[in-house]
Amino acid sequence: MTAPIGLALLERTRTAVNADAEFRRLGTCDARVGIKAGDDAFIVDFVAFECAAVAAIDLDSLRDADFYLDLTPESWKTYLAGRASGTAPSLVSLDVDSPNGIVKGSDPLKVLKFERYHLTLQSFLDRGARLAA
Amino acid sequence: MTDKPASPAPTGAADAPPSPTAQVSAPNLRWMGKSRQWGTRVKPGKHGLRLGDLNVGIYGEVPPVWTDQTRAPRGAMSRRGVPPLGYAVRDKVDLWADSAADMYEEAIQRRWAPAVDIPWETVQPLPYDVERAICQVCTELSQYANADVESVTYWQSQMAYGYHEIKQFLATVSFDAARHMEVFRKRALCNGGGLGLEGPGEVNRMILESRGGWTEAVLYLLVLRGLFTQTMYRYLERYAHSDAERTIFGRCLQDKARHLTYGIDHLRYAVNHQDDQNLILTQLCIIGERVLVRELKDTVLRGALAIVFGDGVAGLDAGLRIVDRMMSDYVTRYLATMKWLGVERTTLFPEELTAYLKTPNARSAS
Repeated sequence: MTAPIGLALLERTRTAVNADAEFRRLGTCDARVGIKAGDDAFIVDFVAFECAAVAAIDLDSLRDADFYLDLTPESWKTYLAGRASGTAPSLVSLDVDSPNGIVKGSDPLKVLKFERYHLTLQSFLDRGARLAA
Repeated sequence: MTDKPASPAPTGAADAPPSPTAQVSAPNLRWMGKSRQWGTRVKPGKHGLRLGDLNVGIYGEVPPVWTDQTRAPRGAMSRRGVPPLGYAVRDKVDLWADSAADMYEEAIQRRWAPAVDIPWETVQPLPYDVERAICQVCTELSQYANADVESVTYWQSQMAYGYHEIKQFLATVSFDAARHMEVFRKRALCNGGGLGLEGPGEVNRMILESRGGWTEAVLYLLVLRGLFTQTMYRYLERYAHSDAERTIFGRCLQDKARHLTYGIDHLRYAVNHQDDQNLILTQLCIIGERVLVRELKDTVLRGALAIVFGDGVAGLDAGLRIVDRMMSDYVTRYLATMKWLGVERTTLFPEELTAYLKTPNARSAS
């Protein structure tokens, strides 16, 4: 049974990746990434080589993120379960496949951070997926 | 400026008798006092010691025009009598982007090596048509990357040394592009195939023959073509036939996003600091888009992509629908980017590109 995406899971993921030398080896990442899951929203703050902070935020505060990933709570759960079992696509592929995309933002320079750092973000979520499984 | 020695100069060195064997002058230590700002102590932060962190005091003064025509590093004292080198791009507005120093660091931090960072062992024999198609795509992408290298290095040599962050970032762009040439060639030659047919190269020619200034080259190379290439990388990552291909296009995507960031950031700087730059860019867009449309009439790349996406000639129709969706993504993002820059692409925007937004496969139509 996969745990839903939420602050507790994001905190555990943050702790895990910050202790992981492989994560650090992906290189610096400076991005404020929003995660929207229905009516819930979170911010994941990457600074230099680590995940500096995670927090629950209200939906309006997603505008302070460089970009955010938008899925329903059920889709997040399915996605994390799929990543844990090796069957779900990458975030890039999911964005390509989704009718309206999953990466949202209004500033093209900031939205480009998704593509600049997608491997770091994928690594973070994959770690979360394993912890949630 | 200070002419005061940083520490007491050793006495006697300049007055030492000449060596009976050496024919060179005895050292003169007066240069030790030559510094415009001494005593600088920049400390590393969480990211380490970054290039941008060094922009303190006079070292952080980036003038709107770089008049010095030598290779004197910014902040160094000029030596009298050095012959000029004739740098053509000397106005900050013609090359600057605030993000360049950080992205220089990022390019180095996030570097990768095709020889060892691609799981080449996951490449498996593919049906003939699919292998042919992926090799054709790699052939044309390799040409794109070559145009990146040639255009960037040409302009880099024209840029005044005072804007060193830009020159250094562009050095990483040309290295990234060289890496892309390498990895596409390796993919084409690693699985029983080979290079295919040379692409039409009309956009490449436009980029390489662009002589109106670096800003014009940025528009064509990094935005008009760069967004197209980036969109292709996204779809090629999605429709990869092995972990190796997924890794190749995923890695190239990160590099290309950096190039695009500089490109868009520079165009924003140019538009915000130069009268009528948005009007100039509009005219350049009209020219560049028409060349792109002409190149897109060549069906080789479109067909090859459709076979890759449709998983073979048998899936050509399905593949073509995916190519149309890819093109609608490209046009949508291009228009949104130009609009954000203050360049509304409504005047003379080619119908051939608008058509992609109206196909049933377009994202906006779904």
